[in-house]
Amino acid sequence: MTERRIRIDVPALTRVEGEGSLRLKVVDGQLVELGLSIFEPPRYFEKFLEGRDAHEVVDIVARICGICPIAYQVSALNALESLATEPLPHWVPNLRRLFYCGEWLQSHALHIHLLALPDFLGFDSAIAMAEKHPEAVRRGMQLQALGNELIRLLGGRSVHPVGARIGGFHRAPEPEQIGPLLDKLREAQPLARDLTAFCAGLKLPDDPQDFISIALTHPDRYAIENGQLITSTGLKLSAEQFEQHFHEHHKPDSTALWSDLNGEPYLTGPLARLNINYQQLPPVIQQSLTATGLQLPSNNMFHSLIARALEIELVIHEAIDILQAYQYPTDTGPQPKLSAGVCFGMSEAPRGLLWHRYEVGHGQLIKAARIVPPTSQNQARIEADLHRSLIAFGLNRDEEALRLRAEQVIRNYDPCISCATHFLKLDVIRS
Amino acid sequence: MIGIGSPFGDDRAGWAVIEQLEQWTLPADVSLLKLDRPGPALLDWLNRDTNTVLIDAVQTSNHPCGHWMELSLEQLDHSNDLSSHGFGLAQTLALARALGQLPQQYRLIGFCIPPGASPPAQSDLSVAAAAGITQLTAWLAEQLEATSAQSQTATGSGGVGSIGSSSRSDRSRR
Repeated sequence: MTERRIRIDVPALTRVEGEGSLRLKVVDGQLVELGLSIFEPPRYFEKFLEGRDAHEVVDIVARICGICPIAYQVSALNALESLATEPLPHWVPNLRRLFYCGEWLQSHALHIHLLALPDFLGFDSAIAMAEKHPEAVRRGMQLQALGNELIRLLGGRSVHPVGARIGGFHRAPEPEQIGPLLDKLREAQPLARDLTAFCAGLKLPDDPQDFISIALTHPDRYAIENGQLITSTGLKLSAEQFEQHFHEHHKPDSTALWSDLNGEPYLTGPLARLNINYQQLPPVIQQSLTATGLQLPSNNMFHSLIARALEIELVIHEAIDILQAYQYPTDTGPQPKLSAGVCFGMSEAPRGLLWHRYEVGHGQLIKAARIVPPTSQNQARIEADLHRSLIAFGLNRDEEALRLRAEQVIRNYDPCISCATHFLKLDVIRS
Repeated sequence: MIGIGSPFGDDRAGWAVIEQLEQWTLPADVSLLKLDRPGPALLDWLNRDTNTVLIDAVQTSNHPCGHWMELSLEQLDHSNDLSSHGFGLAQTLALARALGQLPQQYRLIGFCIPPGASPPAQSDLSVAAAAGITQLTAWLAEQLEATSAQSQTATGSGGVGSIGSSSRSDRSRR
C-alpha cells in the first residue's frame, strides 16, 4: 500500500504574540499526534520577585507583558491590597476599572484589526488588508490609540504604565483632561457598534465543540478588574480556592506551564466571559448583541471575534460612565502598609483570567510569588481545539490549507505567548 | 524628528539623539519626539504632509557600533524584525504606506548597535554608541539647518546674512 507522508513546516506561528510552533503526525488519514510548543525563554519573574519590597511588585509585573501590563498590575494589587492595613480610597475602584477599560480597548482593537481580520477577509497580513480595506484598519488604529490614551491618563504612559500603586494611584487625572477624552470616547461609540456589526456579518467557520468556560463574575457589573471565579460546570471559587481545582504542569517541548481544571482543559478569555456574563452587559450593548444574532452560550471559538468586538463596546460605555461621574479627589490617599501573610488576586486580562499569589514576609518583602497567565491556561484547550478542528476540516486537505486553518484556530485564542512563560512552525508527518 | 527606542542599553540611541538635538538651536518648524516602542501607534505621528526623520537603533554585525546609515523602507522590510510582538518599525511603516499615511518626504536613519547591546538590565549607552550619537546629532543638526536655509532662499524670505534668518554658523548649545 502506498503511504502518504506529508510534512508541513510553519517556521513560526504568525500573527500571534510571541513564538510557538505546531507539529502534526497523520497516519493513514488519522491524526495520531498533535503538539503545540512554546519557545519563549523563561522569564523567571516569579523568582526574581522574591526578596523585593511588595511596593515594587506592581512596577515589576507590568513588564511581564507590553500588551497587557495593567492586567498584571491589577491582579497583583488585588492580591497585595488584601493584606493592607487601610481600605482603598472610595475613588480608586472606579479608576482601576477605567484603567483596565483602556487595556481591553487597545488590546482587543489591535487583535481584531491587525491579527484576526486578515484571516476572515482573505489576506495574509494586516498590511495587505490595509490596501483594500483602509477604513477598517484606520478604525482599529483609532480605537487602539483611544485605549492607549485611557491608559496614559492614569498610567503616565501606555507602555509599562507607572501610575498604579498599592492603595490607589500616584496621581489622579486633572479635571481638564476629562472633557476631551469623553468627546473621543463618544465619537468612538458608533465606530465600535459598526465593528460589532461588521464582525457579526463575516462568514465565520461553523466549528462547534464542547468545552468548559471559566470567568470572573460580579453581581453588579460585567466583571473585568475583580470578581468571583465561576465555571460553566457550576463551580464558584474565590482566589484562595483557585489552586484547589486548577493545576499546572510542565510539558516537554514547551517553556510554558499547562493548566487543567480538575484534570480537564478549559477556556478562559472573551468568549468564556461572554458565555458566562452576557446578561450583565449594559442594555445598549445587549441591543448590539441581539442584533448580531449570536446565540449564547456559544461553543464556536470563531465567535471570539464577535465577543471581543462587544467587549470593545462595553469598555467604551463603561469609560464614559466612569468619566462622567469623575470628581477630582482631594487626597490621593496614603500608601498603606501590608501585613505579613499569603494573599491571592484575580482579574480578567484581555486574554482571560490572570491569577496571582504572593507570600509577604515581615518588612513587606516578597517571600514567594506565583503568576498564572491566561495563555498558559488555554494551551490544553488550544491543543484539544486543534485536534477536533483539523479533523473536522479534513486531514486530506493540502498542507497550506491545514497550516492556515491551524493558525486561524490558534489566533481565536489571541495567545500572548510572551506572557505564557512564567515560565507556526507546523510539522505534519503523514504515513 | 522621531527617536524610537527603549530604555535598554544602546537601544536608547534614538532617544539620545533627540535629547542631544534638544540642546541645539534648531529651525522653528522642527519638532522633536521620543517614542518608547510605539509599534503600530507610531501611525499617530505620521502624516503625508509632514517631513519626517525617524531614528532607530538597528542590531547588526556588519557595521561597528556607532555607525549610522540611511535606510529605505525596502531595506527595513528585509531585516529581521526584533519586536517580540511582531509589529515593529518595518511593518508599521508598510502599514502607513498602505493607508496612505507615509510622509511624502521621510528619512530612516539606522543607528548601528551590535547584537545583544540592549540587555534589560542595562540602561546606559555604551561608549561607542555615545560617541556615534554625538556625531549623528551634529550631522542631523547641520542637515536641518541646510534644509531650512534652502527653503528660506527659495521663498525669498531670507538667506544667509539677511535679517531674520537663522545663522548657519549659529550652532550654539544651551
